[in-house]
Amino acid sequence: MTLPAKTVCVLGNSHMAAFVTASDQWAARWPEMRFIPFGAHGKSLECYRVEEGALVSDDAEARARLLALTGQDRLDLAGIDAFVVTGLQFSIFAPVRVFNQVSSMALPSVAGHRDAVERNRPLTSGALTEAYCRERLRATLGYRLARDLAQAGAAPVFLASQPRPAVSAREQGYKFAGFTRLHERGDGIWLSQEYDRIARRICRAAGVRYLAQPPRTIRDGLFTKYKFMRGSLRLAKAGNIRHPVDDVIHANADFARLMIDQLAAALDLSIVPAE
Amino acid sequence: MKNPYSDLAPSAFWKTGVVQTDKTLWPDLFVPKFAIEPETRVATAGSCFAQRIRQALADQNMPILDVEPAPEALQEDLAREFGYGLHSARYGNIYTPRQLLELLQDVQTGTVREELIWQRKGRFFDMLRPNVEPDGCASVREVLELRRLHLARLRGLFETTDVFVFTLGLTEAWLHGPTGRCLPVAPGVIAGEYDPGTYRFHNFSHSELLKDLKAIRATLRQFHKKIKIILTTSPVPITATASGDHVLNASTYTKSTLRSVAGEMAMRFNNVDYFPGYEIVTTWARDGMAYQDNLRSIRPEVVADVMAVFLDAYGLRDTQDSARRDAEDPAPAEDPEYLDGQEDDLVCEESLIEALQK
Repeated sequence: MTLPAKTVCVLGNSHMAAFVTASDQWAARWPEMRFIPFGAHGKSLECYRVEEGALVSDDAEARARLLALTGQDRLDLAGIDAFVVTGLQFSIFAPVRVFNQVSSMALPSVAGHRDAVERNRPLTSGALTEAYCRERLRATLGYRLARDLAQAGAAPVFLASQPRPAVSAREQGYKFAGFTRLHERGDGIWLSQEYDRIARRICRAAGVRYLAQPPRTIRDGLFTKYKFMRGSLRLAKAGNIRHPVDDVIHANADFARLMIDQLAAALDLSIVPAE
Repeated sequence: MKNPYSDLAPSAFWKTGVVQTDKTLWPDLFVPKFAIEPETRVATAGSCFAQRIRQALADQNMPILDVEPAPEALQEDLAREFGYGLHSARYGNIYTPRQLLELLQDVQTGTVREELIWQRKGRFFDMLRPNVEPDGCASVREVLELRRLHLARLRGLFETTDVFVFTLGLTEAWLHGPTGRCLPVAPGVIAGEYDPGTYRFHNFSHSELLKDLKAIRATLRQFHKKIKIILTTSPVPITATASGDHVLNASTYTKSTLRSVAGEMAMRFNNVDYFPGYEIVTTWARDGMAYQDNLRSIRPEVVADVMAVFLDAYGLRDTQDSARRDAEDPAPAEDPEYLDGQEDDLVCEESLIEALQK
């Protein structure tokens, strides 16, 4: 007997596209889940707030963008069984930025204060780097939106980690130099674990459940394997528009499928493998 | 008939110098011995009140040295919680001359001691600046490495400082018996545990303070021959005394002794000056209360007056800018919430003692 489907609202920016694609492509895999998207490119959701049981905005431009992409410009929270917030800067980029400015004794590459000084990354305490990472992650739109949704209602809220950049980001020079430096120093795997630990902790404190990037999609801690990035689609009403081949930010539907599997497991809903 | 007072300036007489004078600008109250130019490299240290001096100078875009700046994107509140931006380095508040002297000696010798670490709930704290890491460190090694870096940074600070402003805060201190080191805060307040066999109370005398300040001057000159020193005395009464005396007597002893020794240093040495911020706050000649309801915290407008006298004496105050700020934001002096929030503005280990009162 099939149970009535749970309505899962996926909120986000361009990273939402992978979830939308996966939920269309493998709808039969999650028979107890029905997905509805709510989001738009960039920081459109920044203009939204929770008010009287709905996500609303006074910004006409933002509303128009959401209406064009999702068919609605406000979201009634009632009747939604779970929320998944994707992208919106909640990512490993935040701790990577922190650890390119400062270092701590916890980093595998740091043996003492001299290492840190020579590499122009002042040594700070692990407590400070953690607080700093927490602060950066809490400042993201993804975190703030998830927190506000959690405060607003009884439905569980999940915050999905934005994918780590593709391995090929290392070839893109200065834009990802921070990732490359940490990788070359051998700090990638430690930083990856630290990011997930801190993300899980701040989410728990906000009443939000953290969806980490699946380990099998990760390479060297800081990067996403190519097979989970290749062929990623843009967030567009027309659908099926690919990101440029040199895009290293957006994951594909294969990646999102694994994320949705985690979500289904967390909600104790069935996953039906393809025959 | 001529007498030694007949040709003295109005500022030498109580009637003209105090009763009839402008009690906001206090003309001639502070005539500096040496100049501070806009490009002079100034460093600050001392008790909580020293943070005010640093802020006032920073507000005038003075090049206040900071050898341990906060990471670029760290929010100000979090940075302050971790001891950034309070002084010219993350040494926390330095309440006594002995504390500063021992720090300078550590910088010279690179001494870092494992015995000077406190524990709390499995975390480790640098006894000599426990408040700069509110959550402590993960290991003894982390404390030691952070201290080594701190000392290395301080060497750079003292070698480049032209004017060192030191605010004297306390005569009472706790000494760590095994090392003899002077601590910024009593054991058990932030971390550690008070054990009478390990820690002893000491109330510095005038002669001890004078000796320490002379040694500080000599040591600073070893880092930078031409360094100049401005001493001030914090007008904030002590939070509590462990001397056995009444806190009012103890506070009066502390402040008067610190004021006296600072004055003696300024009288003896050309490169040492005394700034009378203490006098401006504590004089009964002022119009209106200097202190807030707790009779410890200084009202923000009084702090502003003090700093205006300091800046005017050096010709550093941007009065147009100040007037503009005042016009834009008239609330601070009036709004009780603003006043209530002022204490949080400073990071003060000493005031933590009060919170632990039974």
